[in-house]
Amino acid sequence: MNFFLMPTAKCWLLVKKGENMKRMYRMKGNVLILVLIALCLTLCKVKAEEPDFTEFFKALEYLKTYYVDPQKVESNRLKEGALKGMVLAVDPLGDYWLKKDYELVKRQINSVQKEIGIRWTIRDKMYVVKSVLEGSPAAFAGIQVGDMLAEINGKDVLPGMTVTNLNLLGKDDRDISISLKFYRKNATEPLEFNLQNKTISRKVVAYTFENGIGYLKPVELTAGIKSDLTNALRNFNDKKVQSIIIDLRNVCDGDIDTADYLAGSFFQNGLVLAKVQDAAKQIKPVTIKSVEPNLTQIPLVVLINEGTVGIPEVLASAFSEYKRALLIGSPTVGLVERQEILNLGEDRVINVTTGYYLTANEKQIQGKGIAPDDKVVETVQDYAKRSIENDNLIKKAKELLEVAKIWRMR
Amino acid sequence: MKKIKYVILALFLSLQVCGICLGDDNIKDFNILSQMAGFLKEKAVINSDSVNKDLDYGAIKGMTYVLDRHTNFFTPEESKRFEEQMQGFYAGIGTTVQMRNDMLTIISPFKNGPAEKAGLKDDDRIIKINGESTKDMKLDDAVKRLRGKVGTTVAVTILREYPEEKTFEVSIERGQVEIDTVYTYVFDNIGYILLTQFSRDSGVELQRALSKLQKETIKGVILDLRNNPGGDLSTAVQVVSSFVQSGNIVVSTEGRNVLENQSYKSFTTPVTCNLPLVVLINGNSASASELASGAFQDYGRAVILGETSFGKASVQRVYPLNDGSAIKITGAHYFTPKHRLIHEIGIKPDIDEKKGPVFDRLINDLTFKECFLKYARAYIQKYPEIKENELKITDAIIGDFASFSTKNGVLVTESDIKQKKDMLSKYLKAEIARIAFGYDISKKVMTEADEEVKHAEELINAMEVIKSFTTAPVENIK
Repeated sequence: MNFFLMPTAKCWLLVKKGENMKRMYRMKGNVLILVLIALCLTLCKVKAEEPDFTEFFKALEYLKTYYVDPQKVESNRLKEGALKGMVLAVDPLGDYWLKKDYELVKRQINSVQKEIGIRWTIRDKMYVVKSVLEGSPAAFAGIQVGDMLAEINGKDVLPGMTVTNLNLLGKDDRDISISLKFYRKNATEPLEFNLQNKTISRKVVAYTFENGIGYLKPVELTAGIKSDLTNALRNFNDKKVQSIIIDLRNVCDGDIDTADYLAGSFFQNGLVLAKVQDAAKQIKPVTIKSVEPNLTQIPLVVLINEGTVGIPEVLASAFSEYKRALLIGSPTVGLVERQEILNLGEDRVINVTTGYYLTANEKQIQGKGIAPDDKVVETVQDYAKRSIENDNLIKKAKELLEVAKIWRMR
Repeated sequence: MKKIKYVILALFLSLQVCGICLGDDNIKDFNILSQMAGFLKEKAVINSDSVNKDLDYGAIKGMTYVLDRHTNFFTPEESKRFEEQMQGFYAGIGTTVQMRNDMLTIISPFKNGPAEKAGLKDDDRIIKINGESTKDMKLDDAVKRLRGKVGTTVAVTILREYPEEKTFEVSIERGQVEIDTVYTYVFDNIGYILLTQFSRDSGVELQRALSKLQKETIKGVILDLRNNPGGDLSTAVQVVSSFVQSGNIVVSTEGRNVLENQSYKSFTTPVTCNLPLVVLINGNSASASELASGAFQDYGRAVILGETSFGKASVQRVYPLNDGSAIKITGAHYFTPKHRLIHEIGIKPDIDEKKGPVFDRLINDLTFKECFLKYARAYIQKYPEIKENELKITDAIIGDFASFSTKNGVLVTESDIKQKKDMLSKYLKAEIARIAFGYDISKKVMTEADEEVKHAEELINAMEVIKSFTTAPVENIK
């Protein structure tokens, strides 16, 4: 286990007093966690009984006998339904497909360009907006994080609808219009939005301000952005930018490898980016591998908000915990499940939560979120109007970087 | 081992349930479920102490996902609650509540219901429930706290802002409420009947309303079934019986269980076979509403106006499982007299029209920030003697209301006034009527301005001209 948690990169912010004390406590904490893991492992082995599906077989019998339409209760059909139901019983965020159906879903995720730009989660058995992609039809319509789904195209949401189904709503090569009705806190009536899918730019946005501050916004943290990212950072390096603003607001799609790749330019090789706690409560580190260009000495500000969800949250936690960057914006909500696509035999595919990401210091992010160092809340109006040159958070970030420069010259 | 267990289980089941039984092959088909269970237990994060039960139940729920939305699984707790609900053990305090201006607000307490009997009024704020503040409470949670078993009491602290501000506490005994389901108005010699649901007494109430209408000289009747979610089958038969001669099939059910095959005929009631009838339906008209509309349509008894109905016309039965859990199964479908299936198809109107309430952000804000309410109260204080027929919303009033609302935090621009004058005028008039004359008159004001109702009136006037359409005797359809 890697106990070496402090960054070798020089912190450009003041290291608070008492940091050494904290480090000692952390060591003790780790030993305690090891003992706990051992305990958990023994406990896990005890509960290994198999379910006997007593109730299932009785229900199956009733359905086969009495259901109004005999064709609909054909065994294969019910079996596929039952398998999906089992996945959702264990993990409401999960999903299940026959392999041939999954291939279609995969193609839809990876190669279809047009979408409406909403990402979903489930809270208190309601489907809730967890992030709205910037520049998407949903963002322009004014859909907000936390909106709760009431109806799709005038119809109630069907039971068994999965988060994947919702994420793919409107993802289609054809032009599609979708009407969504939401409950929103403090609204008397459900709000209705009519959305038309469109192609959303997924390119990395890079910009250099006159005073030598670079601005970087990856719209997502998936493998496809790596070359764009490298180009942007090389460009910053060539221009000798003094500091960089990384904008993670409303970024929610991502994989840990790409987050690690981005971190590779800003952290020393071998540092722990984050950890994963798996189903058996085992904790494993994700280590950072250095990537060119080396920007480990460049001061950073990272922008976050309630739409910074998942892998981007994990990345923000590393910037925050190592004090490698100053975080500004609004707190994140803490949704850092590690979801994996797994094969069950040859014909079936499931998507299920197999663990949670923790910070490098093994602090829980799930349900807690990441707090910014400087809280700046944007209004919905700001959201719709802002541009790189006219954005309160970017202004604030530039100001802080200016102060930092003066501070360091002193 | 596993296979043997399933064979034994199958034998046991085949003894218990007479009907087809699952053969040995069939059980083998489901071996994959055990494989899935093992896989999930190994790989997935599981936050439950009863994972085997969860997986058993989850598999049942999963089967219901691929059937229809009325086939559902109930856990033992849900099953118990469902039964209690069916038997009417649970009740509220007899009022609708809404979060308005961040406060839990009472809306139109039901006549003779517990809340009204305890002296609660429209627009009262519930600031505490059993001593617990409702500030920051979710609407759902508040409703949960207000509901409970019949005969128990709930203490609420009320803030009343009008005519003078005061706070008081009352204790309300929860009880079953008979909700008014029939509202009747007359517009230009045309009777309008709104049926909000088919409850046990709705049929009798409707007949009372009809005979009252017939004493006046009316040209026809508009029966409004929009947003009517349905209710009792026998009430639906009674409603159809009020307009169609006795002995005609109203609806029939067909299923795989012989018990499910039934047909229902219209019975003798004081009938109005000749009075022109327009039935209004929309996408939220379901179940009993659809059976009634379907029968009217098959017999050519009424013109159906609106949009295609919801399409829920099936019969469910609850089958208990071993451990107190249960499965509710769709076992039969309803058919119209001409043997049309309604389920998932709905009733298609004879004349399409969709002009239902369109969500408007400005109206929502004005309602939510209570600009209509505040203005209406001020208006009534200024004109306490005003009569119903004198109430007119002039351009001057709209202008005054716009600047009043803007001062109260909801911007109403010149162009809003221009574009939304009719809508603003309708809502404002209804709100003033509510404060001055009560909920019934307010509802009448809203109905009078309803585009679809106006369209129905035109149709009835047209029927006057084409008398032959409805004066022909209703024939038996076989």
